[in-house]
Amino acid sequence: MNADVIGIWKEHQTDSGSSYLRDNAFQNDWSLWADHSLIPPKTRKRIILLGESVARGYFFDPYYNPAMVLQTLLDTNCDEEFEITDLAKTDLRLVELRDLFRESLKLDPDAIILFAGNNWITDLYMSIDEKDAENIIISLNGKSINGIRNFLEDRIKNLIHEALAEFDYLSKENKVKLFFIIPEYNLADWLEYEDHFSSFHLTEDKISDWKKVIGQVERQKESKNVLKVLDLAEKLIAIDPGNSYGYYLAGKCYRKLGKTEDALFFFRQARDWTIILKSIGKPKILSVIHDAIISAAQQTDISIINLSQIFKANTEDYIPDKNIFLDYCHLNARGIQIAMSYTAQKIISILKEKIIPLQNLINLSKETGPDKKVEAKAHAFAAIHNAHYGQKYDIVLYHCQQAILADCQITAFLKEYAELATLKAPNLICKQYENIIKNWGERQYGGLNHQKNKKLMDIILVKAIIKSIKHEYPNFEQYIKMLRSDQHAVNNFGKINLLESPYALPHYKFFLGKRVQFFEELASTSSFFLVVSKIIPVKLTIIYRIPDAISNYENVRLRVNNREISTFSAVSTWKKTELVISTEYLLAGVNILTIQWPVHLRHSVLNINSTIDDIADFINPCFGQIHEFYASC
Amino acid sequence: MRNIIGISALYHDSACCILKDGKLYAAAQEERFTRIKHDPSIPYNAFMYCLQQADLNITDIDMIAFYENPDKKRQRQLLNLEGGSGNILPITLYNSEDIRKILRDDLGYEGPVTFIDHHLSHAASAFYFSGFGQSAILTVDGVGEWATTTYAYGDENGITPLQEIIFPHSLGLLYSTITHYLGFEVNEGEYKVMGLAPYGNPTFLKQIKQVIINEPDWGFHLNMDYFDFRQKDRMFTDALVDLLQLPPRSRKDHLHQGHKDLAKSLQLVLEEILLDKINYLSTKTQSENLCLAGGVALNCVANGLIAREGPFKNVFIQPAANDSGGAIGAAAEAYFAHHGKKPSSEQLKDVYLGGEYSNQTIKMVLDSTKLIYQDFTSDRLKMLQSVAERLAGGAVIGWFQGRMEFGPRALGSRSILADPRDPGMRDKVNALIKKREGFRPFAPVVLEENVFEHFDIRHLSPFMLETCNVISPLNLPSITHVDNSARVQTTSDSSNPMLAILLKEFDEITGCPILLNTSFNIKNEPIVCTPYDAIKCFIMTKLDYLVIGDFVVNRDDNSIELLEFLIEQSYEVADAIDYNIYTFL
Repeated sequence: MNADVIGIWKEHQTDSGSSYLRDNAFQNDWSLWADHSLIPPKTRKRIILLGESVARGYFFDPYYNPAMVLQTLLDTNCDEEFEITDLAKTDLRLVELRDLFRESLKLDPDAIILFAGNNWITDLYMSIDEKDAENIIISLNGKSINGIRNFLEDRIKNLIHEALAEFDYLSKENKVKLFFIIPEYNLADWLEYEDHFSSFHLTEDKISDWKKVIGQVERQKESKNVLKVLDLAEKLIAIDPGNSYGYYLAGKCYRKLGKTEDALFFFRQARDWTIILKSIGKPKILSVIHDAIISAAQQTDISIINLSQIFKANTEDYIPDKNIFLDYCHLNARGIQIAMSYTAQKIISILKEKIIPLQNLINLSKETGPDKKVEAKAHAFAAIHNAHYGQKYDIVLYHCQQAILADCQITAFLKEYAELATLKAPNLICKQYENIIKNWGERQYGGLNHQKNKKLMDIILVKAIIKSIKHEYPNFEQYIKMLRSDQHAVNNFGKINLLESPYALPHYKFFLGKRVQFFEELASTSSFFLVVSKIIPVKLTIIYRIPDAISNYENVRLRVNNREISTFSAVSTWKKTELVISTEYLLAGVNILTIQWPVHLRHSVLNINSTIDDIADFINPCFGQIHEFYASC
Repeated sequence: MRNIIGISALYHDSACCILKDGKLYAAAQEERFTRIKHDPSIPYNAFMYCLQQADLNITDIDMIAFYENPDKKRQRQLLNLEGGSGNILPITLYNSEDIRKILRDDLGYEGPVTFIDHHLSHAASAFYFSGFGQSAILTVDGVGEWATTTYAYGDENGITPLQEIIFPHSLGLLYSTITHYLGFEVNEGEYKVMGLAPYGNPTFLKQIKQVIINEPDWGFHLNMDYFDFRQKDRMFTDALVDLLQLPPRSRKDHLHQGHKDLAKSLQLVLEEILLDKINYLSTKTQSENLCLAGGVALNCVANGLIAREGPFKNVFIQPAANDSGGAIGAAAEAYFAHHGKKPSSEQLKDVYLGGEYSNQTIKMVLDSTKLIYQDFTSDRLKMLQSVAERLAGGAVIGWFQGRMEFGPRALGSRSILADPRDPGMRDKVNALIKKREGFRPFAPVVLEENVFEHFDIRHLSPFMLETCNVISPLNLPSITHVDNSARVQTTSDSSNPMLAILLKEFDEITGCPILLNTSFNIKNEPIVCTPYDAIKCFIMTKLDYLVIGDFVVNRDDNSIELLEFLIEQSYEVADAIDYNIYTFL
């Protein structure tokens, strides 16, 4: 711990005491932290807010955030007796929170609010090293999916109990009241379970059954027969109780049937089983984290504000969804207002020993904002974020429309962004990017520039934008088609590398462990975009392999716009295959090529020398690899 | 065995090349793609580029030749660590199976891998591309497996080793140690020491000769009282400080005369030993030809001396003499081992072995930006005339044309060009554009047909690998070093037609067929690779014009403040090596 530093703020002595100024040495990190340059000397009772991006009011901050709402609620009800010092930081991990907690005591707080837990799954993964390999192999007990989940859950429980015990000890030692806001997760409207399939614990028969049922689910997708889908979901759960998808389907069915408690149960199961996935989903509060916080807090003086219960109490037929959330865990304005109203009530009841009616606080919180422009941008950024992390068209469209509802001028931003996404050049140098920064700024959201060499074409997002702004820009769809053709059509360039990010990445994906540099698929299907502006035959050249394929594997299937056009043998060494897509399969514009990899029993085994990477590969093996994939004409 | 990939990696400056039926189709350093300077990682991007350039895929590759023998190197690493304690350099040890696995995992490569000794890779990179039927060969660098210097003879039977000097006795390590002593970055600052030397007097000759002792015939050795190559943060002992009576300089300290004198003394001793060894090599081989490679062969001043005063009639220096060139040598040696003949009987004419971008691609990138530019696709000559006029008017140009160079030098594909007659040009380019030390000289590029009129050199110099005296009737202050030397590059219609026309047009206007030529990058960044890199570099520097393909961007026509701000905000220097020590372990 640095003696004179709290986060990014460095101590400076003034006549009125110690103040903390944002230090230039940390300039690269400033955007991650609560946006204020100065922590002045204490003049009122001080309440510190520590937490993650959810505590920052991600998508709204710095124009609107939980600290601002809470400050207003406390000022109005406690005669400006308290000042909120916002030290929230995006991506804050538990280990950092512990450091920051200790540092923040230098500010002589009267109370500390912790609003965290979503990122702690990262602490869990980071805590695992080669020393754990043997224990994990033992916990797997051959092929036990419960064994690995138990191992991981035990580890995170320990981390949480240790941290909360320290928080409690320090707060008592320093006579600081401690409050913990447990976040909630967007159970119904954040989807990251499709296509994940881990077969290490299944028999050949079960894998075969899974494939049959998944096929039936596909056929039922458009069906209104909820009971039939529910039956299939339950079959999926019975076949593979460690796969989130069956639970998620069941949750959706129960919701449609109006069985809220059952829906909640299955949605939570779906979320909680992601703990074993190699692909890192977005931050989330798992049941084990939620329960461990409550259990650890029971042994302490920490006051809990449990958003799950609070939202439930305030919402009819409550299931966490887009009505509270902008994405997986970040709250919309309503969510922030409800959460902070409860927090204010709890703080006032403990520190002032008086009870303010909750509805009064909620009504007051609604008056805190946000400004309509800020809200419009928050939804527009949420649309981008949802699209970039694999969400479906409907939810992306919803956020575009909500943005326009908040402020119709946001259509100009959406239009600019759709053009930017359609260009092939990196965002940073594009004129649309300059316009966006100049006219709208990026302070509310840091995700407008893409990751290095990972520009996306944002097909779903652009489609949603076109629909949302159609009224104002009726010719925009045509313009985008033309621009996309200029930038990406195979007939304009002769040859397109389909492994480049605009074509191979429908959205961003993250994985644990070591990754190969060439294309590797951890799901059973891979999708690629092929743009043609003139319907002519297109030649595909693909070099692929399935590392552990054996002779009885089914073929690899290639579909163009959902129509199968070819199958390739499953081979374990690189194989080059060429084929021509005839004109009848192609559409002018974006075509979707789908590779269906065979789902089979994996034959790899773990042994005493297996590393953590080997274990991660064993639990989540790759379905196929591609070294080159070209379209040409 | 038709298609061989050569790879150098996992140390610094990783690179990949491809030999297809013996022809060198492509070669590139990984740093250009990843934008991590000196990137040591397995060169996946360079590998994919090489496949694409040769119109091959991974199933077509018959062999990968790796540029050193990891098992031998590991022995030396382990022995060197023995007995060490305290502040010891952390190392990663690889054996040959590890390397095979890494190549399988990182490149997806499924075929055979052969390992070529480090200095044999260097020797092969020079001899097999020299065009000589037979030749003496000298390789000198920091260290490979054990060898630090090798003497060999090459002919139709391949490369025959004659003698080697082994670790820790190393000219390269000596040079790097003093480089660090003078407060410069190891593996990067050696050029600076060489550039600093002409400002000094050889007042430390006696001390340097106590540190390295020349021996008769092949030999020399370091006095190890003055060195400790196991330490984590410095390569010398306190005894060296006592001997020199000059405190080690830290990077922030001002350079004073003592530092310049030390640089001069080091340079002279290096030259003396090299010349001595080369004379002996000539006696032993009786060859008229010499091939040079290894990092020390990038010392242009020593190279110039060897060419002028050495016993050899013809000298060929591998332009990628550093470890990146090891990739080429490894592939060539593997080719020879299999086919029993050299991959090429002709001398390497140029090193334009990297990627290129069509006008269509460049225009698409430019059109995506707010930049206003002029389109000369219908009249390239007019563009070159216009660029020549602007150069004559004092403009500094970012020049992005054709295939990227392989190796450390920008030779007219990814270059910054300026008027060499302008007395203020060196300071302008050093300070405003390259953002580097003011004493560092710039190199001239000259048309082949004019070189002998302006430079005291006996042969063409297409790779900018040796210095010579400036004898030009013109005043060329910005490319003439303090000792009247210049590191000249010659070019021609056949090797680089665009640059040749530009030089002719500049000559037409000014009577000077010479331009200042330096690499298109800024301090701490690799040379630009793509149009995107070029635009970013143009924006980040004070270049007046960007000439990219057949398009010209004029800084004065554009309002770039916001773009500059955005690029600066996203700017991250990525560097892969520790500059305090020679990370040879």
